[in-house]
Amino acid sequence: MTITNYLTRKEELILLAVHKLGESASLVRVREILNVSTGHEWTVGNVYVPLDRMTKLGYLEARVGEPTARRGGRAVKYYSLARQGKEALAELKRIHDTMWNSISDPALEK
Amino acid sequence: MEEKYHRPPRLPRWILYRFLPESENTYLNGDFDEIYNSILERQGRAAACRWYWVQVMYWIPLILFYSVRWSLIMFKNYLKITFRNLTRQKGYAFINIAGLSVGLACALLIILVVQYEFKYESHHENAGRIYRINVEHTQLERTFQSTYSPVPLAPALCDEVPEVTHFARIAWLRQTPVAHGDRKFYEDEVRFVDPGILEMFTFPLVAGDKTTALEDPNSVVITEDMATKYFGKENPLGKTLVLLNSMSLNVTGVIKNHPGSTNIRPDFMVPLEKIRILAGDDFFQNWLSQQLASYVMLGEGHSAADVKDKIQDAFNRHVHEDDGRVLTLDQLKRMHLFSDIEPTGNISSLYILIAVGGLILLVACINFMNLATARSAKRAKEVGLRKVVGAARRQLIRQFIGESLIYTAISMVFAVILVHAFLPLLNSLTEQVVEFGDIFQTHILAGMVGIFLLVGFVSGSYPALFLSAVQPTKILRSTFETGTQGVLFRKILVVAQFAISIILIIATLIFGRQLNFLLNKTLGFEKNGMVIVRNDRSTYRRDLLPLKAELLNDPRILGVTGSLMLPSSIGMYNTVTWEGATENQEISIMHNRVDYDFLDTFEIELVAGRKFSPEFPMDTSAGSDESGPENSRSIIINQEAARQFGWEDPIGKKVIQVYGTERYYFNVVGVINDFHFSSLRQSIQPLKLFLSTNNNRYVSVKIHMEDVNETLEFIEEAWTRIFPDAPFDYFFLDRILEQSYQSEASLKRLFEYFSGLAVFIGCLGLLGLASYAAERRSKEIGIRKVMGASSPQIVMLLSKEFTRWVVVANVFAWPVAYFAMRSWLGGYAYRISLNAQLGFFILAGAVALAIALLTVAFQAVKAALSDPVKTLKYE
Repeated sequence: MTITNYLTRKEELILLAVHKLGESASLVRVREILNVSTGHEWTVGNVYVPLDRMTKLGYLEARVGEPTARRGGRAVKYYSLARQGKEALAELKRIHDTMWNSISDPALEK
Repeated sequence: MEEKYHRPPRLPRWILYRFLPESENTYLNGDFDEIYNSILERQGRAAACRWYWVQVMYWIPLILFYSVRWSLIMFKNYLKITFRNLTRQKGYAFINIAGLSVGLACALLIILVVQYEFKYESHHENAGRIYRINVEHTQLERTFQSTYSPVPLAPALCDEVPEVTHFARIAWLRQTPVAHGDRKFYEDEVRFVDPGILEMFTFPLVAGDKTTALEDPNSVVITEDMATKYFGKENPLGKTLVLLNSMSLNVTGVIKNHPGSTNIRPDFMVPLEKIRILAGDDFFQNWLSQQLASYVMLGEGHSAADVKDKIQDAFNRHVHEDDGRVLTLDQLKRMHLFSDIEPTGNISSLYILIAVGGLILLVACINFMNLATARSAKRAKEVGLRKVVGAARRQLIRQFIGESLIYTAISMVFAVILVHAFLPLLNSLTEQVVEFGDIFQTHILAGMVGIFLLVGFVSGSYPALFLSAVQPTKILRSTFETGTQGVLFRKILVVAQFAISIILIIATLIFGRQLNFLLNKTLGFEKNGMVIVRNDRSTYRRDLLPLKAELLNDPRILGVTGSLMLPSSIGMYNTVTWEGATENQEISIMHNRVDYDFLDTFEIELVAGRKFSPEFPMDTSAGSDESGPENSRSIIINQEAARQFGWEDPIGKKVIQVYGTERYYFNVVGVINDFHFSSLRQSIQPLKLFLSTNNNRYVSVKIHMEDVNETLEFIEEAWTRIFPDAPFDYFFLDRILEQSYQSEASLKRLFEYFSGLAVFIGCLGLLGLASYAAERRSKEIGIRKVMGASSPQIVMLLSKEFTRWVVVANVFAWPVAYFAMRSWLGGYAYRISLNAQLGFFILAGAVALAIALLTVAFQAVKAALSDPVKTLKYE
């Protein structure tokens, strides 16, 4: 079975966001990116549940950062792509590219 | 970078904290705080708060789903374990489920009985807005209440009190001859009503139009049953019914048959206007006498309290200023159980029933707990292992509660089946018409779910708390003393169980005694062998002499007499003063009009003076003069009246009746024994008897109790020959008297069954405990036998313990039962003395003990007869 069977579109977007953020990929940052790029408000639960699931499945790795005053003195959790996550993204990109390359419809170019 | 930290609102923060997964709590809360702060900076506090709340609302379902998914997986495991235990220990499972099923079935049956009683009149859509007007009249510190009110009252209220939107009056006519062609019957449920009744009450019409059906004074609306009775399969509309041999009425409407739970069940509704022919115009203007029941409907949103004063004011405008009558309102839907006057239901016996249902359920729960704790040893290893591999205490509690819920659910299914099977029996005991379908009403189903959860949690609570607390090291080191935990608790439970059973047995016995007492008490008049023939309105003034002459010829007839009312149900009264009374001193006194031989026929004892006799012209109204003390009319009074008048020697004294300025005198010629002329719930009141030979609403015939049927035929033959147009409608006096104690009788029968069941459930539990004890001590018994103990000694050993508990239960049960029964008996003016019944307390205890011993002995004998080799060979 391939990776595409395991990851939803939502999870894919989150993996991309984590990848883009690199070192500073906390739940708050990931959510901000998603809000900006999709144009609608993501709930914390909607971000947290996929993050947690993908960490458990081994796509992501989590590490605990420093506590800050802004967080009420609580530590932040940073996420980064694990090897499996990178492979999954690569696989998804390959599939997407293959599919898109075979389509040339100006109506879709917006 | 270092900005000021704002703390989010307390309540949602706390909710989040409760619901977030424990391990992630810190980070997630931090995340929430961070986002909250940044929104606050950009858009202000309100927006941030709103965001926080929305997050919480979104989050909770997600988290719940997350945790439920996991508990479902565990639940599957619990379910599997439960069913394994169930099949492995079939005996215990059976005892558990049987006990719970019977307990639940009792509770359900009682719920059905109670809901039926509470359902009365609720099928009328406006039942909450319709009120009956009662009239209260206080005389000399005694208040008389009547459900009858003056005829012109209701229309006057409708005109003068804006809140009253509709009214309907209902006038009774009993024993009315109704005919269609040659089909002629006497009907009890003929009612003269206002046409508005069809709008106000819910009597669904199957034929005819409810707005016009009663418009014409010559119309009649009948029930479906009556339509079939008189017209068979023909269309009843437009057909003619003849009432009272003279009144021709057109059937203009047919209503559905009345449901069982109503007291207003007219079979024939005739416009009230029609009564003018019978009673004249005066009837409609008479504010003094109370002739019929008046119902009024209030507008939406008005309550009885709002309009009570207005209604009283309107009434006062129409009557004399010192009339003194007070109007009260009785809501239709509360009338059956909660009316101040003549409630047709008996709310206190319903409360008793509810209490009994609760107790039986408790006994069943106790059973479950007992068996579960006793069996705990078997489960302790499982619990230990679960704990070792990481089960939290909370999960274990959940497991055991879940298990008891499963048992309860299975029992519930059996209980419903039992209810279905025993509902006809219950209906015959209570004379209700509860249907099995009633169980599927929403509130009953909700009640069932409630009971299910309650029983599940209560019976699961002890094993859950007790078993989940055991230390895994102790269990797994196998030093865990099997079954020693909770021994004291178990003892308390068994004692409680038996105490409840004993209380119920005592209650049953005492109810039975009181009922027998009521039925067999010497009432002061003869009730056996009395055949009572009812006269109707058109025939009661006829002379009885020809009938008497005819009947008394026969040796089987011992006496014939006529009277206005029967000695068992004298209900008319007025107020009088008397010779020697101080100014304005009055008492109210019941009265009856009787024939010469009334006292002889009913064997009422004359204490002083003489009986009525044709030799004294002053006994009759024709030969006497009531206007002065001389030659005044003769009356006979009872001892209670003489006592209240304060007369040592009543003969020749005068009783005076005052009407405005006029005074009427009556001369006391005899005093009779105080006989019970109303229910034994009440004490005897003063009574006076007049002579009257043509006021024979009831003709009483005393017969030999041999050849009853032939004698009845003879009476009927004579009756129809002498009064060819009057129906021969008779009943036996003792039968009627028995019926008046029906509520006691049905309560007693219900108690017989329910206390039997409570004992049964208790014994099931005891059986389980006894066999467990025998099993646990099987090695001990084996050794004892090897050492030379005889079988009887072993039986003694095992039975002794349980016997002690039952004896202790008696000690608790007796005082409770004593006080409960004393307060119940307090409701009767004539009652058995409780102290004389103490033997029954001992009897109840002995019965419980005997049953318990029998149960235990069965197990003990089995244990005692077992071969010691079998129990000891693995040591």
